[in-house]
Amino acid sequence: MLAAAVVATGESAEPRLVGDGLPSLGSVRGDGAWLTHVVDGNLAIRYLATGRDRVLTQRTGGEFAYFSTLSRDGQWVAYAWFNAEGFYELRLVGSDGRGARTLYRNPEAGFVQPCAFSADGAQVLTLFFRKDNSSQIAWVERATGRVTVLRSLEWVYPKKMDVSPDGKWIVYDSFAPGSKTQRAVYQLAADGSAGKRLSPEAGSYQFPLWSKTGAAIYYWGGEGEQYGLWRHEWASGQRTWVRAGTGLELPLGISEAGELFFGVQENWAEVYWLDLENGGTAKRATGRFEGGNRSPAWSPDGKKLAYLSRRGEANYGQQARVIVVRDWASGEERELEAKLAHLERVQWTEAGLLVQGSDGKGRGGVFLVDAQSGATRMLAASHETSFRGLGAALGKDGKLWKAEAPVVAVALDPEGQRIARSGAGLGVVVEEIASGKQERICEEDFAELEWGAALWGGKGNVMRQLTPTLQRGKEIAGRAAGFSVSRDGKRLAFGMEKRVQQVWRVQVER
Amino acid sequence: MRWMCLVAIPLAMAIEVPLGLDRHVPTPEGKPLRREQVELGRRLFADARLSRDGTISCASCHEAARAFSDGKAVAEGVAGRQGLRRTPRISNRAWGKSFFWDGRARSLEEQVLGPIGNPKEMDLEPGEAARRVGLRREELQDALASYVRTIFSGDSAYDRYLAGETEAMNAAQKRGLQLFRGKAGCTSCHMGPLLSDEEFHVTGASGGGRALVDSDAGRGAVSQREEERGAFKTPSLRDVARTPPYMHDGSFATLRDVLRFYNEGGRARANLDVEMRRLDLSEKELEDLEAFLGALNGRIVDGWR
Repeated sequence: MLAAAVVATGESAEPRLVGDGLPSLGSVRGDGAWLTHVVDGNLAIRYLATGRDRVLTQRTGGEFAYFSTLSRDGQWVAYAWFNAEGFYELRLVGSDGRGARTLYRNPEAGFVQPCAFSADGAQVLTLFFRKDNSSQIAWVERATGRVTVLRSLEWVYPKKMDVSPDGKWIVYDSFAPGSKTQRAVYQLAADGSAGKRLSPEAGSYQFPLWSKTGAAIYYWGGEGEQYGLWRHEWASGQRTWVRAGTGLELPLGISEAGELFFGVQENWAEVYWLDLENGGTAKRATGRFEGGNRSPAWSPDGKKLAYLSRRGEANYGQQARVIVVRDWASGEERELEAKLAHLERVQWTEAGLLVQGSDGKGRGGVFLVDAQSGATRMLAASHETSFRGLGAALGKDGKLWKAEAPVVAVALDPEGQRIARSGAGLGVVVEEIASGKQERICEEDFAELEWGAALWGGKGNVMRQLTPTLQRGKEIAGRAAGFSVSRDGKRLAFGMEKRVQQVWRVQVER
Repeated sequence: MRWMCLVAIPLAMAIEVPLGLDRHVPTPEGKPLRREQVELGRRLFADARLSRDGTISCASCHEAARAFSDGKAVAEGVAGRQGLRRTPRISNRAWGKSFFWDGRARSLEEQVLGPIGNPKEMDLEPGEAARRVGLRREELQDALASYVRTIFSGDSAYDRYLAGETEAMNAAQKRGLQLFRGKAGCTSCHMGPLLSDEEFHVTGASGGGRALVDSDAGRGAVSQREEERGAFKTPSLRDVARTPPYMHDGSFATLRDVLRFYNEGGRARANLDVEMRRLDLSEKELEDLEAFLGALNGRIVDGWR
């Protein structure tokens, strides 16, 4: 009985830590001896017995390796490579470091993510994310690089795809029919001749993986509060609950010994505040979801604090977040339902909340969100100019000042008469808007600027007060997840973050 | 490199799917494409017995030579009766999510009987139409839907360019593509292999953009939602350059008219789509955009190979 081979819920199947500081971007060899990952931008193999890495690529400049997958015999690694020309290509290298070559190189392909090899190793199941914000499931032939697109999807691409051990079927996750939030697991014939939904209609399911024999598919998900790992029998469709999940697991693969390898990629972040007038120690500034809060922004009158708070399950990239508005006097908090798929940073202007993120069609840019109703409209799309949505400021006259390369940070003074800019090699330049007169007030570059009673700059783990003396003033540690100074200069709110990247394994089959 | 894709269908049969389209051609569960059904559907598509007076077939309005449209502003049915809307192109509908300009049909099977029963089109009760050709209603439905599922347009210059053939598009078309994705924001709605999001939008295009209100409620009549009054489904842009006139009511004579309309941000409506805004494209940029749209003319194939 195949089902009898499954490790039942409640058995002693405690996950064991495989490695710390390991990004969850690769896959595990069948015997569980090593896995692929990325170290300092290079593709590498981590030998789990020794904890040592073997680096397979030599990056230069802005190049780096990203997702990778292993052939079933462990001989080949297909990986995404961000090249010197600024786009992703699909590459192949032997796991012994030999035979490196580019398999598919086309700037029009957009983002590429190799997910699995075909059973015979002749093709790589690859995800393309096109420049028109649609994604595609495709085979790339290992010998020729020829591409066959099997299935096109919407902008939210699969979090995981896998090929059955017999090579006949692909499983992947995508939006559930008619939903923009719930996911479902689908099956697709490897030749494209058939396809249908696999997971139940109710609930949300993702990250499908084939079992070692092909008898079942594992996937994460559930209904309501119930979230965990399920085993779905291929022949009968019967489902078995395997274990509860935290929503942070990112699967890498199942070994021949029936061990599921998964990564945990958690960006712990919290918002604190400091009394700049009276001193003292930093205190937590948020009410709920400790460890999931970032990017604070004071309201112009200083009576409220907005911040971003994490919700939903993990994925390999952007987190699902909401805007929380906290009344500073009462501590009451409410959530804004901005119709955005991802929120990266929030600032608070007289006109409303200025949010950098992406909308329901995956388009990045700057959005204005009404602080009461949550009504959202795009002010600028990042694809329209060299602006990359990293920094923006909104004047009282409604004019949007965008940080366009090489500028990464901009800030307007409260009167809207001066604008400060910073970016790589620029230092901090302040311009009088009326006259156009510019002055470099600081040689140091900053990733964030905020201008209230004083101009502050932030980068890495420090925030520095730059004005009114136009010299370096206070320096405070801890802005890694954004900062904001109240307009009266009395309170500083800032984020602290800690990144956890671990790989674990747990027995799911015998 | 140009290649065609022969999709293997169960029962060892094949249809040709041109470059740029998915190899996976969806069919209703348990109803794979079958050669005899597709071929029957092809014959029925051209069979005028399916109309009340025996003068109109599906192919009367969906002419293969006109990218399966008809070149008229609005559809013309039996006895010269005119409808309210333009005959849509029907290539690549295998991947459609809803059908007709207002999306009132949820499957091709549901859609194909609509024009037969419509008094302004073929004006014949579908059961009676089926009897005339010696079939049951479901057999007529399945055969027509199966055939329509095999009408494809692909292998355009744009498809070849995306596949890595960098010289497939000329310089103007490449500039137009950058505008299409960027400043003009066309990919907000026209994306993916279908060049459509298959959703409904209010642009204020009725009557050549001159109408102050939408007399045709469009999607609003189906959903009964006021915010969708005057909304119509995003049409695919494949073969758009060779199939004037344009928009749901055929009220724009040329592509340039359409581009100018969008450049001005559409026409004011209380429920105007959030994507509609002034684009401030120059005449040169409109020219490039139009050149790009010409790169979407594809190779049209239908039926069994």
